[in-house]
Amino acid sequence: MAILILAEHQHSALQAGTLNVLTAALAINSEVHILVVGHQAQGAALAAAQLAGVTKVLHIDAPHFESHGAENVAAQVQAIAGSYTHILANASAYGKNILPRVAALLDVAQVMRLRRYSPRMPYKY
Amino acid sequence: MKILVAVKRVIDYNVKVRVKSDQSGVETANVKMSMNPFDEIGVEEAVRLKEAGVATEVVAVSIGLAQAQETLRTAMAIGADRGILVETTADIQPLAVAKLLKAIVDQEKPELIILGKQAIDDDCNQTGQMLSALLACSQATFASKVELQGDRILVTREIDGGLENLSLSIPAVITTDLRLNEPRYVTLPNIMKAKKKELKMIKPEDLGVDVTPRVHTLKVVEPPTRSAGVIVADVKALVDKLKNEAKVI
Repeated sequence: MAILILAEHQHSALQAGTLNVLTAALAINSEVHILVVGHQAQGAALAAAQLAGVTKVLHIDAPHFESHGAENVAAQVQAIAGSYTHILANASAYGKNILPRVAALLDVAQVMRLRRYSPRMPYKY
Repeated sequence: MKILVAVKRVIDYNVKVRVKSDQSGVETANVKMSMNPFDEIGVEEAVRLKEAGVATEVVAVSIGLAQAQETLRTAMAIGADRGILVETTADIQPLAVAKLLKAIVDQEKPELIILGKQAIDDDCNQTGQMLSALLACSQATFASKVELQGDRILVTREIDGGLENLSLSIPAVITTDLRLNEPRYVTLPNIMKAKKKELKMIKPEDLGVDVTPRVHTLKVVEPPTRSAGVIVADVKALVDKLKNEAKVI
């Protein structure tokens, strides 16, 4: 199963922090999907598709995603979360706002501010 | 409007935290404990809303050891009306805290729930968001300004590179940032008054919540110490080191 990255973006462009998340994701699994949730976010979605190592970009566009409201974005992530082993996001104000909400909706714990990952000694933060 | 504030008992922010010799955690024996600073800001904000005549009652909740009663007394000395302690000796993680708080919210039915954005011991920054998700209500994290306008709550949030203004429907969960307010010093008369306020003790089982930890800590280590600096002879040596050792230019 693949890994999902929730991309941080300003609709027209991707935030640089997403690249750090991508590097971390590729250390876990080679199949990485990027989710771009926004409004008129073609710019960010196309930028995500250009990144080396990304196998698929999911672009979900609707007016109510324009303000990046945690309530709406988390519900959207929950809707597709079932097909992924890991869900990653940048530990910025954006990721911190949304990811714990996703975790609670899925009834799983979350690890914040991950620094190193290794399959045997699971997470370091 | 009724407000619920969650407070956590943590190692005092002035204490130098030490890792236990067996690396199983940090030393908490004989260490000064106090209320998590972000939670203190939350209590202060709730009490200010009450003093402004907007809120009718402020209920403080804590989860943890019996000693957390002191933390609740501090909250009541700031101005909370009563306290609830969910007493447990178990390792309680953010998801379990959110579930316990949800059970209390279901009983108390507050319109506004205020939490610190994170605890200074585990730095998780999750509980408020998780609680909001479980309650399926509005959420505003990292609040630096809270105002009430009719049946909406206006919140200014501190986000990367600026501020964000939100208008929330009720009920709502708000987590506090440092700039929200500066908590008052508690006075002796208020500490005495707080001793007479109601403090209810319950157990996680009473709320029907499974608090089994989901994350296992393998070990806790100190951050790497910085190696000592060296004095270079001249600019040439400095440039050489920057180029070949540090590889920054």
